[in-house]
Amino acid sequence: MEERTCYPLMRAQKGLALLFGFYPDKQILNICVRVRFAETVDEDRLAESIRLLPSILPYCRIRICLKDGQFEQYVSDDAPEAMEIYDAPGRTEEEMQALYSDWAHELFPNDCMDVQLYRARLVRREDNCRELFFLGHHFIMDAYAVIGAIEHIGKIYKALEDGAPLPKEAPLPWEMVEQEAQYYASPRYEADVAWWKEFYREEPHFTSLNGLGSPEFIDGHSYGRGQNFTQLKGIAIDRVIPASLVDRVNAAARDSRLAVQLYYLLALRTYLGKVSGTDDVIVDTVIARRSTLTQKRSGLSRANTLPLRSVIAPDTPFRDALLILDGIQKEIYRHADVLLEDFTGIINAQHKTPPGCTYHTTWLTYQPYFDLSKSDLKFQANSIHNGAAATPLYVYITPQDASGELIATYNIALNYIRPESVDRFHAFLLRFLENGILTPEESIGSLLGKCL
Amino acid sequence: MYESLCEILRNYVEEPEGGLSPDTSFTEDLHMTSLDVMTMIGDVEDRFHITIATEDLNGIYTLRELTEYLEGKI
Repeated sequence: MEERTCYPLMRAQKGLALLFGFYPDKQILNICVRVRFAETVDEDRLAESIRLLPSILPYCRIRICLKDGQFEQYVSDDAPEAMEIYDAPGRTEEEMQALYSDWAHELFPNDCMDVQLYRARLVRREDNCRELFFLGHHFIMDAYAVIGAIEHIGKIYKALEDGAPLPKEAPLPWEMVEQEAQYYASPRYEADVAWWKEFYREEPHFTSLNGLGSPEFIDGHSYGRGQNFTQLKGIAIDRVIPASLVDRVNAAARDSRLAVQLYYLLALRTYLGKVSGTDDVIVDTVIARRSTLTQKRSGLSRANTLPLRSVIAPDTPFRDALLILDGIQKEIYRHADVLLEDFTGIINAQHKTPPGCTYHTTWLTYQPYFDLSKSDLKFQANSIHNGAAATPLYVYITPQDASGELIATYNIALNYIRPESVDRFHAFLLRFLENGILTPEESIGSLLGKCL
Repeated sequence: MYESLCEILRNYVEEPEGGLSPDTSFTEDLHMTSLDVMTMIGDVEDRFHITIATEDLNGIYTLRELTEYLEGKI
């Protein structure tokens, strides 16, 4: 029996456990990526790179266990599982997508306890064409860490090819675990919680992409109160944001010295407010919460959803609305370490909601780190949907290749958000950004009139 | 002050070729996100035992600008 030192889960990991009902064997926790190489790869070298990965990124070796009814985690010294090789010559693109989708649904054995929590499959397609399917469990990796793992496979591959030293071993995450424990015992944490209590002093308004008249309004969920979801059946709808528009948004953000995601956020919150009949809108922004170099290299899940609540009147010019969002975003980022269970507690206490009750909102994340066109080994990575949903609507905006276009993926809970609502919103998003960038002095109300 | 800020900054970014300079921009040169910058500001507050209002950060984009702001405040 291997001697091991166990560590508690970090709060974001506990949040995942809470969100999904303390069952780690949920497919929603599968983060899956399909990697297509832009150059011919040497299969043996690639296999060796994948085998070496956990020695360079120790977070790949982290496993979870149950001890006295609590999840804990430790680093395993077991040899990594052999990489699987899958022969798929002659398959159509549709057949490949169906195959990857099936793999994305697969659960880890033994209820995820004491087992390797990532999976790599090398797929042989025609001739020398190789692809990689990589799946990381959300307890030990978020999307940022999954992409970090793929980048490191490329770095190792290049080092082996060039006969150069392998990349330096990344630090274990236990320093982060310790720093987090210190934060929760600090006055800063108390001040952050007090800030969020003030934030939630007035009960939020409910918004839905479906708009007024849809069942979620009629059925009495007018404030979006509800229990945390465990796992909903979901689908993902991909829609393109053309490269020409992406370029203009990026240029406008650069000229205004604003974060790019604010433009997409403004479009989403403006639309949600309009179709839901309120100027007071919350959109949860999902962030990786990795700022220091240690946080960026140490894996685990640090992701948090931060409610960004804005009240913006329709006569506010587009550029002023962006500045308002910029100020709010900066402010909530200062309190970004307060997590789901704290929010839930605040909401329960302040608005007399049942224990565990929260507000269902739309989630948004902008993830430029999926762009691997500048990595050591040239490849593109596409996220693969796992067939589940954690919230009615989660919009993630990512580059999936080097074309310059972005993909807006609308992960919707089936029987809740209607696909036609997604199509209406996406058409609005494109028109709103086109027009807002062209005439930033125009009010968002006027832009709504033009773009709906 | 400038050296202390560089020391804090090195926890967040790999030092660029040629090193940090007063004109190094947090977002353009170091590619820091708004979350990175705000987290770093939290560290600066803790280090110097001060509070920095979010609106004060408008117009602060470089190491020089942050240094001058802090020198005026402390």
